[in-house]
Amino acid sequence: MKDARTRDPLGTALDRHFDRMGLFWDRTWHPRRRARGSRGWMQWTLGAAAAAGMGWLAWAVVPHASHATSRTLSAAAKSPAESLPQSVRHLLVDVRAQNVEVRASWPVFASYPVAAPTGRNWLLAGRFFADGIPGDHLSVLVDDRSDVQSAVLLRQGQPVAQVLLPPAAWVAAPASSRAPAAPAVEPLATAVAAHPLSGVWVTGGVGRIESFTAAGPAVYLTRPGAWTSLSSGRAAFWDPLPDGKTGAAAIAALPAKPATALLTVETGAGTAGFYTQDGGRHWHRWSLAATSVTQVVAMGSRFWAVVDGSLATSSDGDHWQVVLPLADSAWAVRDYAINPEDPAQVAVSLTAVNGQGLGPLLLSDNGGQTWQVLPNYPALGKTPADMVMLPGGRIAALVNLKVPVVAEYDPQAQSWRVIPLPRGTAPGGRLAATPAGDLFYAPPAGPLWYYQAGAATWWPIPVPAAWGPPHLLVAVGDRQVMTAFATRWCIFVRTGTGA
Amino acid sequence: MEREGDRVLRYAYVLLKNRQDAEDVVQESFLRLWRHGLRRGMDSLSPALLFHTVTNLCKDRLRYRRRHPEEPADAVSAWPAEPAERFPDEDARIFQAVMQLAFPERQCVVLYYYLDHSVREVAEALGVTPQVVKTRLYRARQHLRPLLGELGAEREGMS
Repeated sequence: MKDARTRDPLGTALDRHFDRMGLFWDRTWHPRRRARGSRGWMQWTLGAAAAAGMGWLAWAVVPHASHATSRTLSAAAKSPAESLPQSVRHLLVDVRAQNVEVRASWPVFASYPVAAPTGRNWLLAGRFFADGIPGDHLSVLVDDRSDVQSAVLLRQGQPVAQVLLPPAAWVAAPASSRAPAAPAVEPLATAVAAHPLSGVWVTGGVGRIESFTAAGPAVYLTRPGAWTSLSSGRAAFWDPLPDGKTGAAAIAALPAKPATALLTVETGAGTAGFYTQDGGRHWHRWSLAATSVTQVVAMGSRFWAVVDGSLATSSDGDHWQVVLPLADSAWAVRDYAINPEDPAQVAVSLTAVNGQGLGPLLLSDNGGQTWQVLPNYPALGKTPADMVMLPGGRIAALVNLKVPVVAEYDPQAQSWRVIPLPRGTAPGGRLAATPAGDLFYAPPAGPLWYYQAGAATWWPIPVPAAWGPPHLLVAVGDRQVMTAFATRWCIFVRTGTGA
Repeated sequence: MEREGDRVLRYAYVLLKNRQDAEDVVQESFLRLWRHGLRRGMDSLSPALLFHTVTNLCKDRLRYRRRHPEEPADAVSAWPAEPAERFPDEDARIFQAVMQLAFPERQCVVLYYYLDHSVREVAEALGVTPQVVKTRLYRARQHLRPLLGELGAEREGMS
């Protein structure tokens, strides 16, 4: 038994952490209101009659008010929408929502270590208008106090406007005196060029290759059961994989030490890894006992990979260090990107293993020693599937909505903008960035696309249908992009001034 | 409600690991107690009754979650099982360690250490004997010791 004891340090630590989480009870709430609200059918009937009378008066006497009122009622009429937070209902009034239905809702985890939800993303269907722009879906992000943080209006699966809101105004002010919503911000207006990007396809080889890496003068390739290195334009001589492995292989070589390469092979029991320090004359098996190693990248003098769902790095390919500890049963790295200008800068997107929950986007400026959450990610309802880093620490992230978009992060302004892909683009595909900051995008089918940031224009790069779908895309310098198709691998070389 | 609101919300949060569910449960608990007070008089209300009600409603909610695993609000499975040493901040590490305890132990730890209830009060709130509470606290300390290292030893010494 404890009598007159001082507060235990464990309790004090928990208290401090709860304070920091902002876990406070809403003191304005009182059970009297709820009890009064559920006191029998007579009050309900009287209330309904009074509301009907008020509505008729509003319709007859104040024709301007009837518009908004009827929409508010229709928004709340469907039972699923009634569970929406109050701030979202306020938003629905301002975007003149009609026939609102809740399509989906996911917890959002915008913090690291990923633990408790920090908010929720609602996907609503209906009719909405943001600053005159119509839409059929609204994706709304609320924080853990159920205050609206951001909203994106979508039409036919494509984002058409971001509704930017001053959060304080939604919470503090009563409904009658709330400031009008900030003007809707459309996603970046992009154009599609009328003619293809000028350039030529140079065939590197026939057959399917699985990975490609360029390090200094050496180029390494893998195909099922074999690997090779090319230098000075010599023809490929394919060597069998070490230890007679036959599974899918990936290879990466350090740009700072081109003779040091890492080869991973998928086997039935997990990933087998081999490293070489003499350009592939001798391969050594690594000591890593992990079961799954994917997305191996060499940047500067370090290898990076996703090891059992967590991000890890190594200087020699043998000894690995996890730099982003995650609960592998709950969270995994979806994709990561390294700044070629500063390899200590790494961006990561996380995804929930069970598919429930949107993970945060993280950035480290010191090679993974500390991580910070990238703020103000738009309420797109999905985490990026593919990320690349651009000059100046900017990040381009491919988000596979029904019509995919590229979300671009500006570290100076700490803001995101949405770059729509050309219409008709199917979700999926790969993204690559040039050192100048332009983008190449390979969709699952159809032409490749080149995005020139300065001109905000997408340029098509025609691809013969017989080559099959692309599955690998690597930018080599500013004017070349290496692409692996089902039947061959090729390099597209831009000619002239391009655009 | 003014006095216990934050405490009881945090208690429900520790049990449910989900803020929205915790707020729902606390609101429902206050409502039930309010109705109870209207029937039996406000003097019949006590913090112990409040925590007893919250505990039962939390159990109901967890039972519901188990039966409806497709509910999107379920964050239990998303809780990381990372060793606590990996988290840089000490408070966060302690919090993570507590949240990794089994439900009955977590319940006892938060009632005893955070809410400063005595063993007898914890036993009343949970509807168990004081000996059961002591056993659960002992087990909790055993689990916390490897996770919290030196802190675990400090707690042991204090209680």
